[in-house]
Amino acid sequence: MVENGRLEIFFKTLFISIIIKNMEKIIEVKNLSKKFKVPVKQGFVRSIFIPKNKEIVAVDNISFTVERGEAVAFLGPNGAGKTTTLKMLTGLLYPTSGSVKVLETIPVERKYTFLRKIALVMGNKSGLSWDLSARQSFDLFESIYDLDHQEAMKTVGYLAEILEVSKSLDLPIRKLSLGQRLKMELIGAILHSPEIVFLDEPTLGLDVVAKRNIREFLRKTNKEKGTTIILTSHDMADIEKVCNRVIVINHGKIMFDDAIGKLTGRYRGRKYLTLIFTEEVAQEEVEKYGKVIDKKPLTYTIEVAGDEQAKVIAAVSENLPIDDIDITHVPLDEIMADMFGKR
Amino acid sequence: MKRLEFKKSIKLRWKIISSCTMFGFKESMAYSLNNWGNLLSMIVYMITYLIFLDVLFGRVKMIAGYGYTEMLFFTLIVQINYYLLFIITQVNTERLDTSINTGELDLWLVKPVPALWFVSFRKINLGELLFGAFPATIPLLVILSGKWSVLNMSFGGVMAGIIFIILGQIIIHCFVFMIAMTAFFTGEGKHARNVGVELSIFGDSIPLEGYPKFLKYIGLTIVPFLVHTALAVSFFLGKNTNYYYLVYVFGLAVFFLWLKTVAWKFSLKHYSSASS
Repeated sequence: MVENGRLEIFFKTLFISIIIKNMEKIIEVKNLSKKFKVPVKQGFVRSIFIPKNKEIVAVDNISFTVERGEAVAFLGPNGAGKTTTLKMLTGLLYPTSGSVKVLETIPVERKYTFLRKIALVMGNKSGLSWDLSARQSFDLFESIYDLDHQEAMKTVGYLAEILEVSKSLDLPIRKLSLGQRLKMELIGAILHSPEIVFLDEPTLGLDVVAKRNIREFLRKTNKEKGTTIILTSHDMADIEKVCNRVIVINHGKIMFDDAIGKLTGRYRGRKYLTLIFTEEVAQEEVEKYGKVIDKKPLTYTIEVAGDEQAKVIAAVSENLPIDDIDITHVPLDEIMADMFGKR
Repeated sequence: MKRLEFKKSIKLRWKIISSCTMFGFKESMAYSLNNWGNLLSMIVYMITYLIFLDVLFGRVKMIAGYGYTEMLFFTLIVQINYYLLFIITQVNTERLDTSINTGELDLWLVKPVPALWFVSFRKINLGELLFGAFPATIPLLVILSGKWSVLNMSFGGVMAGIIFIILGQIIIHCFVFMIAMTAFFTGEGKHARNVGVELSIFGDSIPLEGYPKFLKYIGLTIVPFLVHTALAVSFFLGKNTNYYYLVYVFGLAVFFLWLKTVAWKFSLKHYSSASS
């Protein structure tokens, strides 16, 4: 009996240690802060001879860890500190205080082994030559990352096929659409199979199809290759489709850090009903059943308490000229707007 | 172990230079009509300058102790130095400035390359050498071809002259690069960089012997515009044979290289990166 108990403890310990080993922390951030000095607006002469600066806190004492294989999103309004955090994780910015370790390395040391294992994609910046084709730029990356030519070309072909840009590989970048260019940037960034990919607004300005394509690709890379993905985006769909964890930042501080499900779970008690009418209905009539969130011709979206949903549906169906009703959870967009006090 | 690492580092740097040169050449060939325009403008410029020299030396026999043929040789070294400065330093500092301004530098700083080396030699514009430097120097070489015997050249002087060109280029490269790095703090360094380039070629119109003592002192120390052309030509033509200058200029080059590295590290530490 005692023997069985010991054996059980042994296997439990072994199991836990295997799990811990697999959940290797590859990013460790402790009390990280970043302050910028910005000039204070003064008169022309004063600004030249007695310039004044004020300090702006972009990131304020944040701590978190990321495990290998996670897909994490930084979410927050403009100027929240998302991109600054990302830039400190990649070693582009020196922290004002606190510590960052990525892949057991201090990023700003810019060690070859560290840089070899990461990639950075910025939606509004291009690392490819404007005048040359993507393939010619990839040749340069191949030299930089010391890749085997045949292998690299195979990878380019494979990635281009998934992202549906095979036909554009030999066109000058300036001739490509924004979506095609961004896809090329992605291929160039992950050509060397990085362990962590940092993405700053990767779908900025893209159409629906290109966005979907890139999201699927990122999800696939994360799932199949185990690549850790760190993403900042304003597009909630990017976050919902690609990431399983979200870190909400506002005014440089972390407001929420957990699974996306838990964030949406907080709002599970609320439902959105999209009411489609057969004829025009006055807003006052609809407002009797819930708070109007959105209004289009013949369509209203209202917010109701989850436990009142059935009652409201019955009442609306009986009293208003209903054609169809659609029930949804509170979308992430609305949750964010609620959190950041924009509603 | 250290020797192996050093070898690896040299190999990597060579690979970066050769790949970037090829890449830069392809880029400069992307606009072929522009290149032909460049070639034509250089030919016109050179013919105008040669006529100017001809008219000038029709009235005077010597300028700062240099005769017509010596002045032609001086002009040849001026052209070589100008194009070396252009294809290595000017193009790359211009790119550095734009990269800082647009935030594109971020994407290069995360690549596994020695960043300072990479941004210094990111684009070696061979297209410019082909379409600018050749038309500018070939007419001079043709005119000089029958006049070499007039020039007082010795083996030692020629060797010293070549070394001064190389070291002088390293020095002005560091000088212009450090000025270009102000973009890290101001966000835009185009005009400051232009001042640096103008100062670097300040000594390209008068031979070393024509400068007052004060300017000679400045041009061989803090604003080193006299090394690459004026001092080099003075040695080429045997007007100066004080070989201690070699040791001095070597020291100056090492000092400027050190200063450039320190300035780079300082700038990166204060880099605020253009907002996304």
